[in-house]
Amino acid sequence: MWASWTWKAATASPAGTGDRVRRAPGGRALLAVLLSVAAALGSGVARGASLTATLDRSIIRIGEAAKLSLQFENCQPAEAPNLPDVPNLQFTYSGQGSSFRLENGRQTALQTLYYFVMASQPGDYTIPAFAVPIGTDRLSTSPLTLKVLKSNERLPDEDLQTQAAFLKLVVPKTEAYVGEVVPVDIQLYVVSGEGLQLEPLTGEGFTFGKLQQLPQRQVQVGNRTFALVALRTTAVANKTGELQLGPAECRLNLRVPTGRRRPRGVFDDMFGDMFAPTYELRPTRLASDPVRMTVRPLPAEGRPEGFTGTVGEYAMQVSVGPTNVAVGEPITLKLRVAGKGALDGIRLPPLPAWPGFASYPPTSQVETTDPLGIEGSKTFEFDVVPQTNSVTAVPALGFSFFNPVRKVYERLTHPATPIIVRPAGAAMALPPIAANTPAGTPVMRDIVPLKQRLGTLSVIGPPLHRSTRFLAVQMIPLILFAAAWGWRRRLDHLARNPRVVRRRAVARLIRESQAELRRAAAAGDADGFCALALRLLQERIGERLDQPAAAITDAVVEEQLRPRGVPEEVLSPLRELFLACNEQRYAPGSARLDLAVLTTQLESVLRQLNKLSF
Amino acid sequence: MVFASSKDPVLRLTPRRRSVAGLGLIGVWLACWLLGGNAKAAGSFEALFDQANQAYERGQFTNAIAGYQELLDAGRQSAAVHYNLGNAYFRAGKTGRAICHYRLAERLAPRDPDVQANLRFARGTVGAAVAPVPVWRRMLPRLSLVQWTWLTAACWWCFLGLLTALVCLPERRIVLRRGLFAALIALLLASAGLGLRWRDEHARPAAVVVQPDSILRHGPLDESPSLQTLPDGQELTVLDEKDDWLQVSGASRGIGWLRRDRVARVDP
Repeated sequence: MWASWTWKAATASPAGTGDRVRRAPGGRALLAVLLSVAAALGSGVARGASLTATLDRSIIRIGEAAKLSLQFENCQPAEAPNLPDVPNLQFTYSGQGSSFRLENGRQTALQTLYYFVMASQPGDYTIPAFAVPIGTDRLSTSPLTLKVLKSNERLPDEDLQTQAAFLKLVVPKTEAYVGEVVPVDIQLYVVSGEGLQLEPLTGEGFTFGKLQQLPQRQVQVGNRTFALVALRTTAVANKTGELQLGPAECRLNLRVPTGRRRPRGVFDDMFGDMFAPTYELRPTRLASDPVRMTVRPLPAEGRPEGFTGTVGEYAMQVSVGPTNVAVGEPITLKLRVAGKGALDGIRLPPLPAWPGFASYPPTSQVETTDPLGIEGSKTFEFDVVPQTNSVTAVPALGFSFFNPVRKVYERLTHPATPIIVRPAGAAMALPPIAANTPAGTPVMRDIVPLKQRLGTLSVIGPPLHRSTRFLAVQMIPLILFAAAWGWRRRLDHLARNPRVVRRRAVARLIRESQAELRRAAAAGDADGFCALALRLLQERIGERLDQPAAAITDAVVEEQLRPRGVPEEVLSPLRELFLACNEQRYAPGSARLDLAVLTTQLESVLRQLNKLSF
Repeated sequence: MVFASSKDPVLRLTPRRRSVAGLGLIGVWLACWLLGGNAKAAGSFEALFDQANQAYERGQFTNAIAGYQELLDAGRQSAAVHYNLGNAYFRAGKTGRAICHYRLAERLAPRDPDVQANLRFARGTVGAAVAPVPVWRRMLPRLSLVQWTWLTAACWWCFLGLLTALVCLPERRIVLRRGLFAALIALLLASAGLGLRWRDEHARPAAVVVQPDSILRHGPLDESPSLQTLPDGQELTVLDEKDDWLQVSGASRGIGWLRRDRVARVDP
């Protein structure tokens, strides 16, 4: 299945019932006012502006009217269009419409002017191209044809008017050459429906290309308006003779109006028609008439040598490089065939055995520029290797194809390309090097001479950054940083814990005072000994109790140390030490002190106090 | 031996100055430790270099090549040695080996215009395609691997020095933090440059075809179908190795296998 759509045909076309007179003056006046306003808002041809003129049908009978549409894309006419004078044809302005279209993120503004076209005499008419001023520029239409039959004559598609949908297979020509690309349109005309599923197109002896969906539009067939859903593909005949193309087939659900239901109650009577569907979906299978194609063989007359069966319209580009090589070095040939036709089927003739060259099979690449894949280019790239330095040029290249439009064979050629081939390994007598040289660099004819200074010698070895020595040295700042960080943390810790600092200071004081204490004891300096001993006791006990040292007296022993559970073996000598120091302090010489015993006692007490924790 | 007396001003330095002097001595020792031995026998290398230059000027390119190669075999290299060796190879008609040594010279002296000119000239004579350097890579400073390494190390020391100062001098943290941020950015950029340079030189080893008509094959066998014939001087990237074969990319027809003896690795 190819595609599925849902669509709905327009129920009415913009119709005007004004006087069917030639260039109705009232309508033109209104149109002129509207267009003047539009022109005042914007002048000049916008980017992507275009004008399209279409007729809703190509055949009418006397007394019937065809509808001419002038569609302005991304622009507005500066004034009412001047329609051409066609004998026996009358144009009547019937209205206008505007809309926006969004395709692939691109917005297009559309303004359409409608005219009725009527004829007074049967015959074949051509509405010539005419130009419409757009700002300071002018846009032109394409010529249109209209066939007018007598009033009692039968229309070709008249049988189809009575159908709700029909399928047509349209080809621009029924005679083609084998290998020629023929566009094929599959057109579905339907009044209203949904769920379209198109069967793959069939045709023995044909190869079909990509499928392109064309914009849906409204068309008039006889007196009935259909939605036209069109798809375009390509067919390439692979064999000659009378071949049948199609039929094209599809399935869809037609919307068929239903009859009015019998009312069953008051609500049914009131709302039944409002909510109940007025149509039903009827599954339908449609098939078009097949198309007979006459496929002719390519003419034998004038067939060039090396023709590989390529059919189409092409041009050729060739590039050769490098053109200065040594023997044995490859030269790349790029041959680009661009144009319209079956690009995938383009084949090059095998390269002839060029004397002095070895060649390799080419690689190819196709690039298309249209949705159907029949316009674009195919690039062949292959290497040739000069085997001797006597070669002076890459020989001429040629490509032949059959042009189905001109119905002749055509041959494209590229002249021989001069090259320079040096002996293998030779580097002498070098030409100027211009290629691969940055812009602004002077063209060199030889290498730059030697350097005369040795420069800084380095040891060949592993890279510096992987050397163990180098990496070891890089650890030094890391170690320094780690040390600084530890030092900073220690400082911060001490700043947060002043008791630790005091404890350390007291310990240091006691440690440093021990020698002085012993010296005073040895010298019999009782005053100095007792003053120092009292200070050490105050500092130690004050640090333990977290109190100022000056606040520590002998009363602390009973008031604070005993309640805290300090053992008697500590309190007793402590009391004695306080007593001795106080006596010496307040009544010097009243008691004879044994300083050596006091020293031992003091050291013992200080040690035991240090072990206490409160 | 003369010992300094106690009245020597050095011995009367303050502790702070003594620390600075000690650090200076350690720095000198580290420099000697790192660079030790480089000055050794420099004179003999100079003589060898001059002899090779003379042979080149006389047109004795084979002798010149042998002279320069002797320097390299002694485990020493410089941009001038590789450059002159490249010139000698080029004059001897060995374009592939010339390109190989020009590229080695370019690694050691990436901003040397002579090296750039001769490398470009040699590549022009080969005519083989060379992978274009992206624009952003051309905007990076053209430094050798050693220069990138020293730059990265300097940024590393600077960054950690500022970090240490920030720890020791918190009262100056506003100024130090700005410097620290700048040093961090510089360190990251220098590290990226070092990484890219190392990747170019070591992670993606390069090779140059040094034999004419070297056949690139689909597989690492003599029986494998031929993919392409490579000219002398074609530059390649080594992807894999197997026995006597190297898998390489860079040829116009894609990846293939080449005999090891047909190429020279761009490696001193």
